[in-house]
Amino acid sequence: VKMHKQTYVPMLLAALLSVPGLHAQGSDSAYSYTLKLRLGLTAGDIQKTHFDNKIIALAAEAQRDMPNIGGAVFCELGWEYVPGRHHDIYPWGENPWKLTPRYSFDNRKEYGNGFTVRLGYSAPMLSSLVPGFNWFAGLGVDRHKVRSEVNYYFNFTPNTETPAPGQYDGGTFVQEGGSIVPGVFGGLKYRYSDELGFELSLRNFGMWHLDYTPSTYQYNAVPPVDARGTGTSKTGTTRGFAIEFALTMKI
Amino acid sequence: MMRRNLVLTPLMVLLAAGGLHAQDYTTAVITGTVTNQDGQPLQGVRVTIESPALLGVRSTATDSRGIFRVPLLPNGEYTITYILNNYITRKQTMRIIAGSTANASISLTAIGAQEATIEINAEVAQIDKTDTIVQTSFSADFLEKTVGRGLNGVYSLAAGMMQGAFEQGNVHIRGGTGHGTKTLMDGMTVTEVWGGYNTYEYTMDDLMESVSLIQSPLNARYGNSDGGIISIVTSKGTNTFSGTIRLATLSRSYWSTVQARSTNGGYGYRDMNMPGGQVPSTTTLSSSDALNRNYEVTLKGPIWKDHITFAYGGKLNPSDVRPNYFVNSWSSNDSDGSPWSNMDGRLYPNNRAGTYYKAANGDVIRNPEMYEFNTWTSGWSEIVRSTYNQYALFFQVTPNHQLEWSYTEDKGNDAKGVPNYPTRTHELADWQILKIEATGWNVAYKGIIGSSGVLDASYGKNRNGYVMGNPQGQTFPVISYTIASRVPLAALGNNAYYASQIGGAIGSTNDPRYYLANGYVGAAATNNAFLYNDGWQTGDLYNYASGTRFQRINAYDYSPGDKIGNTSWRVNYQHILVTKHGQHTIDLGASSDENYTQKHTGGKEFRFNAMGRIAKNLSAADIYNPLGPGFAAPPSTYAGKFIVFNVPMAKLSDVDPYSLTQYNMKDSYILLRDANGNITNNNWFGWTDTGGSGTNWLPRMTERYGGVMGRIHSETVSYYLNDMWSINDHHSVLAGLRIDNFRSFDSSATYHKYIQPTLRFEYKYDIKGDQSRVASVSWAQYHSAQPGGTYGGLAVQYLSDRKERYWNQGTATPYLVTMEELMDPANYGFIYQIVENPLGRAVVDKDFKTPISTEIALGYRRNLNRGGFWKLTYINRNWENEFDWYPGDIYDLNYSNGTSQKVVRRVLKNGNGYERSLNSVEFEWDIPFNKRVSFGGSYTYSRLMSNYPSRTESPRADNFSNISMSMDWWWDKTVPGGRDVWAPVAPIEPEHFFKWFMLFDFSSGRGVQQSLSFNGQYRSASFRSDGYFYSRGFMNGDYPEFIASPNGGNVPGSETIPSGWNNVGPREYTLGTYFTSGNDSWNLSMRYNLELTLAMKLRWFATINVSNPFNHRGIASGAFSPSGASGQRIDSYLSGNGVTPDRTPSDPYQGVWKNAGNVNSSYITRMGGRSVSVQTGFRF
Repeated sequence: VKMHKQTYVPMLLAALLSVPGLHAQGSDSAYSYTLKLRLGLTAGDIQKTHFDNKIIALAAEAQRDMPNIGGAVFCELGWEYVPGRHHDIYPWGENPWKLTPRYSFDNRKEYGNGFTVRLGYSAPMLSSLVPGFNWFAGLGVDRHKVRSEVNYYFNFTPNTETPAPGQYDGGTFVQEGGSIVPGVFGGLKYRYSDELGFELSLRNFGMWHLDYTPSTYQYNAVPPVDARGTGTSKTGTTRGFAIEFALTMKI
Repeated sequence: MMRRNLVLTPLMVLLAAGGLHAQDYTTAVITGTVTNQDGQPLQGVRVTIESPALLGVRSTATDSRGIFRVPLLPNGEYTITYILNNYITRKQTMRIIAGSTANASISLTAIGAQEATIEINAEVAQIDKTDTIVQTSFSADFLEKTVGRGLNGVYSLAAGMMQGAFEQGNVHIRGGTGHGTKTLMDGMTVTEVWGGYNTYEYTMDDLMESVSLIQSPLNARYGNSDGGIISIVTSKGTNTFSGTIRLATLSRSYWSTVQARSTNGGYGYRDMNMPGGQVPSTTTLSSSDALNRNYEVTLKGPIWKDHITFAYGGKLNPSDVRPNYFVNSWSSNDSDGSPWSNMDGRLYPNNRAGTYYKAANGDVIRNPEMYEFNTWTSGWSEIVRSTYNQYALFFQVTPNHQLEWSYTEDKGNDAKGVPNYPTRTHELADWQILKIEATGWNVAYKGIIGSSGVLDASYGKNRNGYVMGNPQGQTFPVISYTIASRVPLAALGNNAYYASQIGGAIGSTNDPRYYLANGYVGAAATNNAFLYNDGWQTGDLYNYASGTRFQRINAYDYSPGDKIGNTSWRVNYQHILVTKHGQHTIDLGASSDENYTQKHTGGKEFRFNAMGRIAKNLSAADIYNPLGPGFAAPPSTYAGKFIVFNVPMAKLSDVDPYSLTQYNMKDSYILLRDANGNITNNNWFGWTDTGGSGTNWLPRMTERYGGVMGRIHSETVSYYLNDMWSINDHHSVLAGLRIDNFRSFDSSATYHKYIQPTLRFEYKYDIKGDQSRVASVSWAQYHSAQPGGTYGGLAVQYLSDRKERYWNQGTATPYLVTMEELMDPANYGFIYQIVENPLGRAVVDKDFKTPISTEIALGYRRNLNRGGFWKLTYINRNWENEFDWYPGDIYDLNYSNGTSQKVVRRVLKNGNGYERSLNSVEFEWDIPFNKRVSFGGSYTYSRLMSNYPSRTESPRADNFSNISMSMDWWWDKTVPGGRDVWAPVAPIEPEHFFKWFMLFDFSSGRGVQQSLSFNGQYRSASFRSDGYFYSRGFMNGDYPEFIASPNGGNVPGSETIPSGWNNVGPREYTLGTYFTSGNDSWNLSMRYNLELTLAMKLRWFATINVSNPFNHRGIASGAFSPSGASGQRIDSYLSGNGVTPDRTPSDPYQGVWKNAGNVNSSYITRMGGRSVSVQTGFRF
């Protein structure tokens, strides 16, 4: 079996986490390592696509305290998954072509996953009022790979019980693409205990996206229909932002 | 007294070393090191262990290393007291879970200023440093609070665990097969090997104390699993009386948005985005809103305090019909005229399969808007007055010597023999099992030998009467079953499903002769006597009383003597060996898992499997009379009798399920007489056959497997040695060797046997020596159990001699007839031909071996200081010895009528070209934030890949994996030797499975306990767009390019068209894209638990569960063949009835429907919906 090219993702992630894990973490060390379980919601252009507006992510962060400047710098490597949202439409409200509702649909889904790399700076905030509060901000790059699935099916058969051969048409295909999106992020984090904490952050967010329009929205009364899915498509990168919440756990 | 309440209620606990330090699967160990405040070990510390779950008090003392160890502890809350002169006595409490080793290390402070006992109330169960097994353990209490009791709760939380659609919803662990998941109940193997079921799925949840999921059988003690192990431990009673009375799972159809309603399409339907937003009209649909419920009771207590205890649990499911329950609830074609519905290789019109509901008046009504997936539907999941009882005795001879006995019976059916689960409709052939009854018992001894050894031994046996729905022999149909078998119809009662099907048609129903009818028999008095006998295809049964149709389920014969079961025994001796270089925990033992099918006794049982249908407009001329004119008696002879008559010298089509032409069908035989003796005009089926001159197909009787005595076994006897070497606080090494001696045999012959050694190694590094951070790396091999599918080959090999017998069914007691009787026209209509094993169509290669998985795992576990943990694991698994069916030799059936018919035998063998691999990341966490709030769950990323063309194990946990199975089934059965091939590799897309809970515990501690839990899941079900090819039938040599090894030229076995097979049978070639688009499913449930103390120990409790409160509706869509390929499809079937095949392959990813046939294969459906259920009862 050929290893899928994404196979390295979990391997890399495991290796990444094992390194700090094996690193003896003395309390006097300037370095600390954190694992993050992150959930996010997206907004913006991506809402118009067939992505779900959710993000599930795991990330590992290495932080070095910089007492000289009063804060800390950190580097985070994450892997995130953006689920797809089934976009199901019945695109012919007036049904001028006498489509058979039961067998006609236009169904899409897009989903993606990829790495995120973030470099940032954090510093205490309101420490006199709320111990453990920090703000953070930085720059990041997201590398996503996206898969877009289209399945549409039109049934023109007047008689739903006995659709005749050739009187329906449809298509299905998959298209994949990727995007590299630089961005900024910032947020707040709270250290709940020595080992646990929370983060709330905002970042810009964009992903590759496919927009496909079938060209076969037409009624061919006389079978057989021999139309193919020769619709038009265009691709682009969505723009938007994401608000994220993370549970942080000391490695 | 100082009290420090450090941590909360113990929740999900990832524990260690089940089986290594635990003496068996069913008890736990508490161990630890006692030190002084300077960290120096203290010798001679008196450690006493008490628990309500324990008979008496256990005590021990620490050794020179300060270590103590107490084995053989049942599930429960424990208090450990540490006493040493001149030191402050300390106590701590913990919950321990069977199969695990809990670490209870502590330090004592010399008496000084503080003259007090410090009591620490803490959950201290941490992984022991000698942890070896990746195991997630759940206490029953925790499950009930968060996600619900029982195994389903475990599915809802555990990482690496998928409830796959294959093998009917059984559990897959880390990419393993369903049958490769071993399920243990109190140490006894209860895995049903044919489909990988947990045969004890009806285990009393209220007796269940804990469930452990062992993701990796790393310790050599574990085996016969290429996935993982589920270990269920039930109560054996305690020194105090306790019990529960529970009214469980109260729900109504109308409490759910997905249940059938008069204006709603039901479970899987398209109700949105219709023009005008209308929902489909389902005017005929009327669903019962009866209250679903079941009753449960448990009672536990002492018989002889400190020595003998008992436990009992009983469950009753009253008569209950649950339509279309949870499996395959989406689908498309219903009555659209799809020719693909009937799985006998012919292009029948769709049989109007659908989903059916029981109307208030008892009629079963089809929901016309139920979109079925090509006649796949779950149909009924019916529980008819099933009962479950579980008994256990525990005898503690001394604290060091214990005996256990348990017995369970799952009466899945009432006295009428109605199968209870899962009564799925038709066509679900491969792994369909209708459980009839199961019983099991287990005895065990556990004892402490000397100061360092623990011996445990157990012997368990369970037997299951099943219906296996695999009539085409792809796997061995263990038994078949028909409700009507020798049971007077009147006895069915109105509550039985079948009775409801028969509905008002039941007239004079005491005719004892309907046993030939495979479940569906009309009554003489109704003038509508009919027989519907068909184990193959779906079909309607027409309720002529109500004018409606209803669905039949798989129809099978009943062979009451048939059973399948397994027997398991284990002996394990564990020895703790302390050396100056560390401690060795050595397991030495042997075990056996034997699975068998007990064939029925020869001469007393029969099975048959008829396919075909009752023709309409049947006339006497249609009756084939091979014995010549005048043979048939006047129709009046048969008045009121529903007799299938398979004359001797039957033609091929009578006995060969792979009948080649429809015309043979006409030569099959059925006499269908009404009360007047006239052949009934069977137009109630309403089919519009398209078979040309074969329009009026007659049913035929097809014999499948004959009545022989004996049983077919598969047995794995294993010997193992495992050593866990704890070198020091930081390093430990595990090494294990397991030798599996596998063989398959019957009472007279061994078909194949081999010895398979497997190894496992693990290194663990406790980074800080305090178990807060433990990294591990392991390499291990796991040898799978024999797949159930191989039994088929073994069985038919065993039954390879065709036998024919003739029974006189015209009397209350059928008997074998003599040849003279056979030829006597007076018996016409009463003689039934039994043909045993007409085909011998499959064999198992003598060198066949079961798969081995090799696992490499990297793990890191972090135990949090204030309780809780998180854990990250990377897993890579690769399987060897994968297998599939291949075309084998061609042999001649040589039917008794002189017909020569060549068929291709199928051979099950390992395929070098087949591979499967898994890459997975599991992340688990359980984090208590404070006393009242905790958050836990798991996330599993898995990528399972294989290039299996048809084996069912490969795709898993994919919502559409059923589809490929159905295809597999179709292909294999359609034409003998027909070869189905997928090409190229069918990838399984990345899968994400995110499971979590958030628990809020509001218990006041003043007799009121209440909690609110949220439980969610996200599961991706990815689009699959697999290029594939399959062939069905042989194309008269027309398309050799499709036949010659399309799978890269590496398909073993012959793909050559056998001589004589040209231009026969249905032929279809499909080349294109197999497309499905699964629904990503998001689930959220809310669960509220309340428990009030009424008086003394009497407590009242209630649980309200709201599933999917926001009524999120997932959807799925797809296109397949059958039903359908997206891409290019080439159909040719039944000369004159097909179209010109298009031989041009299209871009598999840019294809267009091109159906030559009358196929509607795309579908869309919506799933999910809010539902509410309630449980309430009392505890004492």
